[in-house]
Amino acid sequence: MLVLVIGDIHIPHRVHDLPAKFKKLLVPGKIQQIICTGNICDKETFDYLKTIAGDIIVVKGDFDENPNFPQSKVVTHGNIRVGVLHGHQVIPWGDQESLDIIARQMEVDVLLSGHTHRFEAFESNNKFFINPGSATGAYSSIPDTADPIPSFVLMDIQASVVVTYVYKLIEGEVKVEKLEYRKGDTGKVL
Amino acid sequence: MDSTYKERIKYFENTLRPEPEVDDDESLWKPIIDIKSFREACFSGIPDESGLRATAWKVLLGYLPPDKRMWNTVLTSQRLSYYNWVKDLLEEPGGVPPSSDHPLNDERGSRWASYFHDNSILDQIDKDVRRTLPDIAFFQTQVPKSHLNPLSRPEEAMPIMTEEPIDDPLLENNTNNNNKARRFSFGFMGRPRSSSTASKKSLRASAAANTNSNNNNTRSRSNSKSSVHSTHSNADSPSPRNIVRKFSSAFKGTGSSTSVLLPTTNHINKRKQYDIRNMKPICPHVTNRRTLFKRISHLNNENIRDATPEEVARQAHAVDLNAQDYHWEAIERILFIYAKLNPGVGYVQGMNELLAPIYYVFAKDEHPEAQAYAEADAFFVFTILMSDVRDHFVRSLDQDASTGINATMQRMSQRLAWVDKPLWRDLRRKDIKEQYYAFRWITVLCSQEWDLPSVIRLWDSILADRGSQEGLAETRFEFLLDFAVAMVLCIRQEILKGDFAENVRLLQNYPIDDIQIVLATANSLREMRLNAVANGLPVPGTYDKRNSGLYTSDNWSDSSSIHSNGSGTRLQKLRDNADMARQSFDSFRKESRESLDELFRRGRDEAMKRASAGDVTRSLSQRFASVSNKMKRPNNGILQNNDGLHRATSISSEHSTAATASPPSQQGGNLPARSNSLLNRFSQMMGNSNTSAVSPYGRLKAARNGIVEKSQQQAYYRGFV
Repeated sequence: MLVLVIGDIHIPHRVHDLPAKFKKLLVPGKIQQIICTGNICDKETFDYLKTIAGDIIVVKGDFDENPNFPQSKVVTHGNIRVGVLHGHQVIPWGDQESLDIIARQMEVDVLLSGHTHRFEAFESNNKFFINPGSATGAYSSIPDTADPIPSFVLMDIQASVVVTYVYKLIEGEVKVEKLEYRKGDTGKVL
Repeated sequence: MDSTYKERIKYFENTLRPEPEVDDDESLWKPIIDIKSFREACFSGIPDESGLRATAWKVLLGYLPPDKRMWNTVLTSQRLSYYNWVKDLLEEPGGVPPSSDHPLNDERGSRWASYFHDNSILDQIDKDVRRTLPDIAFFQTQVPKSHLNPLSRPEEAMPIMTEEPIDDPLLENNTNNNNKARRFSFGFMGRPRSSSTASKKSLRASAAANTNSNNNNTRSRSNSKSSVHSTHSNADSPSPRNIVRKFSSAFKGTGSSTSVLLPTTNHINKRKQYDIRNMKPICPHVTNRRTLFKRISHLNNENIRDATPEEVARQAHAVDLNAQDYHWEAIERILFIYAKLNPGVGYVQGMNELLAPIYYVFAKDEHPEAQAYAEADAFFVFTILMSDVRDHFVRSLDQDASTGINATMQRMSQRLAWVDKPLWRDLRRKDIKEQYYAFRWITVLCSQEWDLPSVIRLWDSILADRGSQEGLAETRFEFLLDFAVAMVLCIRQEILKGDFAENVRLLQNYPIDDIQIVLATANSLREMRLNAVANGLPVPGTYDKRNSGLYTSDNWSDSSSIHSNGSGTRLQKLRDNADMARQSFDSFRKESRESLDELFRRGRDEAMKRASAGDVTRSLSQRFASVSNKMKRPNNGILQNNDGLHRATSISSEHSTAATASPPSQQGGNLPARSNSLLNRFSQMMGNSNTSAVSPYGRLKAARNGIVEKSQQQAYYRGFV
């Protein structure tokens, strides 16, 4: 089951569009679900995301225009519970231990968060934390963040295994990396 | 046939038995089957006994060679290849490093890209297969477990077992309980005396499964052949503990467990003893057999969150890699692998109907070995059958009237003309083209018109007749055409009485229920035909080399297509016609309420919209609409062949407006007011296909005149009368 994790798009405030190469990759029909970590900001962009996959889950980011998104959400795929929240609620922003606390509170195996505009994927205490970064490479107000690299994440969830494909736009080329997380085991990062 | 039923059974058993019986001192048994006489015998129907039919079909279609001694090797090698294909083709992508291949990859060589492409095929197959033969519960039941079947759910060895001998009386006892629970279980007595712990454990496990299946009447009900009995005392009572034990042990397997099978519940008196406990499966279990269903399980639920419990259960079953397959899932797998291995044909709606009876017959074979491998055998037999009818499914062959399904329908029409000219004329006068009814008859070998037992009986004859003429694959289905003609003949009176709509309705919902009536007519028709051929008379509709000059159309249509500018549109019309027939395949189903009229009326509205936009191609529906309104609109903007038009209309209707079709095409086909008369279009097709009526002289004259189209039509009707 392919799930797209994307967020921090910030259209139209900070950037005007997704990178063309990303748009070329995101064709409808392949992805079953989209989980958006927030800060889409735009209704048009939200509609665009809806055309990629019918099933879309969005949580509210601090700059989102739509007030009706929830603050956080939990989805279950097989026996993996996936939790989403934007991350501006977690202080200090991007802190691993705080995210760990949140994951335990939400009782999820995989926690998706954003806000830092920086891709991260790590495992701690048998939980998997993914930050898809910013899909557009928008400016981030967090200090010490140089030019963010546009990135998003595609999760392939099969029973107890999550295979993560990370798509980054580095110097105009799309680079793909792969990680794997197994629930219950110690897990291996490839 | 003259021989009694018992004699026929004896003949078949003898012919199909791989080894001679020990007490066979009459030396009737021969190692090599005499195919010719075997075909003759099969033609009048194969007895329903114990697996004779399955084996007979395999022999008739050439899957099993006539030499019975080679059967074992052939079967093993073929089945092995099938299981290897399952393993290879159902593999999930994702093993490759992402720099070269990732899920969003669009390149042609990407495994992910082909994965998604396959999914679309799979989706189509899935939709069709789920609806295959909904009346027969068989397809919705599970494939019986068998340790021989690599595609069956493997058994797990249970942890601690005691060794106990199994006695017969207790065997009987338990089976009586189980017989009530399932309708389709059949099997035999076997005596598991092997002392291996593995077998005992699996007996235990299957005993638990047995009792569980007695209780659990949701998905795993019926047909679990593996739900074997054992005589452990605690297995008798369906205690919760047993059920828990069954559930808690996930059945991962060693694969070498025995499965003992239940006696049948049906009327067969003798219980054959088939000893399969010592047989090993020919290859290890294929673990990814169910990945197919997982791939598209998401397509079947639009709203994951609102799913009802049944849907959730179904979802869970689809995704469960260790669940036991349903029969329709096995069919889906077969069709998918066929589509992958034959990208030229792919999957076309209708193939599932062809596969269903084959698979049914094989899966009902009582011999456990044959039944375990039913899926693999069905795949190969289906492939062989498809190689004969493949032309009917390839859409690009719809273009030309001399190839593909059009050619076959043409032949059928010619044969009907040969047999019963007045009826044929009547049908033509009403413009009932074969496409409206015979399309479905021919493509799925009449499996949609009759219920399953009749279809199976009919296929006995069709398959027996297949290959009795050497040569082209197109000659393999002479009897099918005979049968189709017989179907029309048998409702002769009703056809002559009714008008267009009634006739089409009649032909699409065939009124006669008893297939024997039609079979008798078909048989006599066949006799007549064979006699005629033997006496040297030309028979229209057969591929008879002596008459190829008259009956085949290739040369003429080619040259005419060069001259005429309208070749594109003409072919387009042909293709539209077949397209329409294919698309309305669904509505041709017996259960469909929607009559052809409504379908066409709907199509006509769409076509009207298209026409107003200037779209040139007229759909079939529109032409129907025009006919059913009894309007023949002459061609408006045609200046050239007006005289031809008038002359034509003054004569009998069927060829009348033929001439009008050509001129618009000569003008580039851009006239919206081009003739859309139904007759016009079909007579064009007739002209193309150049039936027996056209004499070569007429053609030459036409060529000399220089107006190719018009004179072709003239010669056509002139020669016709």
